Amino acid sequence: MIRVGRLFHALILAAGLVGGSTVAWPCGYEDPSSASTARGILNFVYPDALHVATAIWNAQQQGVIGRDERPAAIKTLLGYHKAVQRLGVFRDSLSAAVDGGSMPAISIVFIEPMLWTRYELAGVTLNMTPHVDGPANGDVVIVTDEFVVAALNEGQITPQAARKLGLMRIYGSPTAVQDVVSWLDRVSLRTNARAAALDD
Amino acid sequence: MLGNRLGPEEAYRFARGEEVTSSTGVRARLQRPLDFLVVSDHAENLGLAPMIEESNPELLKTEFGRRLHDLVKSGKGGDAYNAWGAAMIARRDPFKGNEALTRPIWEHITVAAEKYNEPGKFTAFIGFEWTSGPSGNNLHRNIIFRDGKAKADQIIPFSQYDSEDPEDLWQWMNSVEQKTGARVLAIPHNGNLSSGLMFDDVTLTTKRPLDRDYAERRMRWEPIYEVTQMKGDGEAHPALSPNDEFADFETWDKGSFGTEVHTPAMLPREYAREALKRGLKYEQALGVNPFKFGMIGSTDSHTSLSTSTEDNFFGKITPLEPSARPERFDEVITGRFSQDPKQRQYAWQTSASGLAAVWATDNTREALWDAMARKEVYATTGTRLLVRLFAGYDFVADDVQRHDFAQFGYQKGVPMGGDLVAAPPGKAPGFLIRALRDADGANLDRIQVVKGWLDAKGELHEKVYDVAWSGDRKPDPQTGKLPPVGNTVNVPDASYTNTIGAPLVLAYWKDPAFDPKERAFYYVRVIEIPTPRWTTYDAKFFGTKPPAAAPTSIQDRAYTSPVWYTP
Repeated sequence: MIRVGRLFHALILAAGLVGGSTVAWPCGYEDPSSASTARGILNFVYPDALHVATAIWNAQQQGVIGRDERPAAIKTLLGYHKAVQRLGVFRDSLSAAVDGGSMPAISIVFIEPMLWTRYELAGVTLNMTPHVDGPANGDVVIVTDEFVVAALNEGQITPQAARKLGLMRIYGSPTAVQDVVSWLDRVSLRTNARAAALDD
Repeated sequence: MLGNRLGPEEAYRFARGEEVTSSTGVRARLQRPLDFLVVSDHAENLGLAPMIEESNPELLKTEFGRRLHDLVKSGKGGDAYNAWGAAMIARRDPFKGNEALTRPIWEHITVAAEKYNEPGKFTAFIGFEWTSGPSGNNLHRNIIFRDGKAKADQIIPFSQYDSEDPEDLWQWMNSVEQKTGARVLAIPHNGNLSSGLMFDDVTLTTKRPLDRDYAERRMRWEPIYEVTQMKGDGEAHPALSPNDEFADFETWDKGSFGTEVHTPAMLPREYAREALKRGLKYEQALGVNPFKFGMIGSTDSHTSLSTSTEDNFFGKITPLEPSARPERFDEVITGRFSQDPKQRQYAWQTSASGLAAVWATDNTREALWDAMARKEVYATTGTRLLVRLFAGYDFVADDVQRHDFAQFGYQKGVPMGGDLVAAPPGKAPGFLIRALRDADGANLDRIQVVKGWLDAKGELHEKVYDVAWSGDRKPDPQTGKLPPVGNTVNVPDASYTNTIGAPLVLAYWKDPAFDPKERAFYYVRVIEIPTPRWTTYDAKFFGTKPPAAAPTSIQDRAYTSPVWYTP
């Protein structure tokens, strides 16, 4: 995968300028130093996507969602697999909420490691491809992070609350975005009272 | 283009004290408004990012513009950046001569400046940055207009596509003045990242030794130098000034943005004090000093947020805005290409600096610009301490207490940036200096006078004098060294107290080693007491671990423009 060219970083930091030979979005699990650059570009391509990061930090400070307390070594060793595991659980929830109509493909990016994952319907199966280069043309893009998805999986928070708190932002054509919003809202989650309260 | 969503309007609004939401979603407001600001965007393909975002019709008429646009809109922003970056490196302007693209964006900037310029209250300068970087070595200059939109709109900013050579920039500036009647000046920055090119002994392109004509043109167009900013402090370097205990301050000396290996031999051509000294020698040889510059500071922020203090630092670029993420400290800024990790400068080394302070008759474009042109300016490393300096032959110690200090100073002497000539027999330059702490900041440690001179043998010297200090400290009788002021910084709490130092320090100082036959300069450095460095504040706020090599505290400071003495 990816790869950030030498020129890329050269220009960036010379003047806040960029250039180089990359062909895709860098993933922080492979090259942690590339993730910050990728986040900056993300904010340009998907306006205010980085607001998600600040919203997540605030939510974690308030105890709304969990935070990453793992030692760095554990995170390095197991972080990617745990993230993919959580994406898989989320895929299962999304899959259960498919209403039979055609749904747009979704590319979800975890903003901390800049890990891109695609969900695409194939018949009645929702395929998940983690660690892709980035969104495909026409994908609806969800900007969020692992601990938001973990909170969704655990029913600590609802998709509506996640959007309301700015913990996820959704980008794409208006129709496709609305389709995905409706899809998310049908997701059956183990909603607890706390999450419901956040919806009020 | 690295994620900054804020434009010139937000930059001016923030500087005026309004709250804005940063590109990362953080609500931000300055504790106190600034008095003036220039939004100085890079001239190279000015406004390309917003044009892509808005699907600008003129951009889409060009093959290159449409390609970039389509890449971005299809989620391949990285590829778009790369395509544009390749053009930048090759210095091939993909939109060469296409004023339909550049002019609206330039006028968007001048409109914003005009909108927020409020004479007497807030000055919004019009300007841009010329991003010259031969082989990745920094020769950037900010071009500042004295005038408003009507004149500024008659030009298109000069870019590194046009030329990388400062002499070409000066020629362009001359043509601007001839064509429009506007007045412009250029402010270079980051000589520390120039691999010795900023204050070189030869011209950039032709490699000719500096001559009188060069010296006259340089000082005509570049009367002041940005001596401190985020990418390091450029006043002095410890290797050049080994006897100056305060010389190693926010030092960035590892290299440039390119691949050239930095060597110690480059240092004298990178740092302000050494350039000021070498300028004396040039003046003796050429009759004109090519390095007779005043000194200011600025932020060089690329977030549109002009934050400069340790407790409000927003970082260099949007991805490095305040957060608990590792890159806030660990991102590599320069030296990325070196095989040697020691060549790298990291984000934690970014300096929460600086500000330009101007002694002007009014807060207007004209008055501020004129003060910059006459070098009646000083730099601070981010705080708003006040420093005033007058030099003359007839001052006495009590004059520093006068109620009419400024009026008297102008009557009997010259201010910072001024000249003293031909000392009367038996007289030596005397200096009246007042320093007042930032109202919301730290007390002052001491006032120093930095003297540089050229002796009869043609050798250059420097000496730093402690001329006034807080408390009852006594210099060491053997070394003459003043004991440190102390340090109240509580690192875990990221706090300090003003129980040491003094809010106001006054000095009268007469050069005890003055030789009327020797060329010299004198500038004042005011040192604050230690306060937590921004990395310490960050660690406290976010609960992160500060980099082990980062100083936990810092002594912010001010550098005045020199007063020169010419026999």
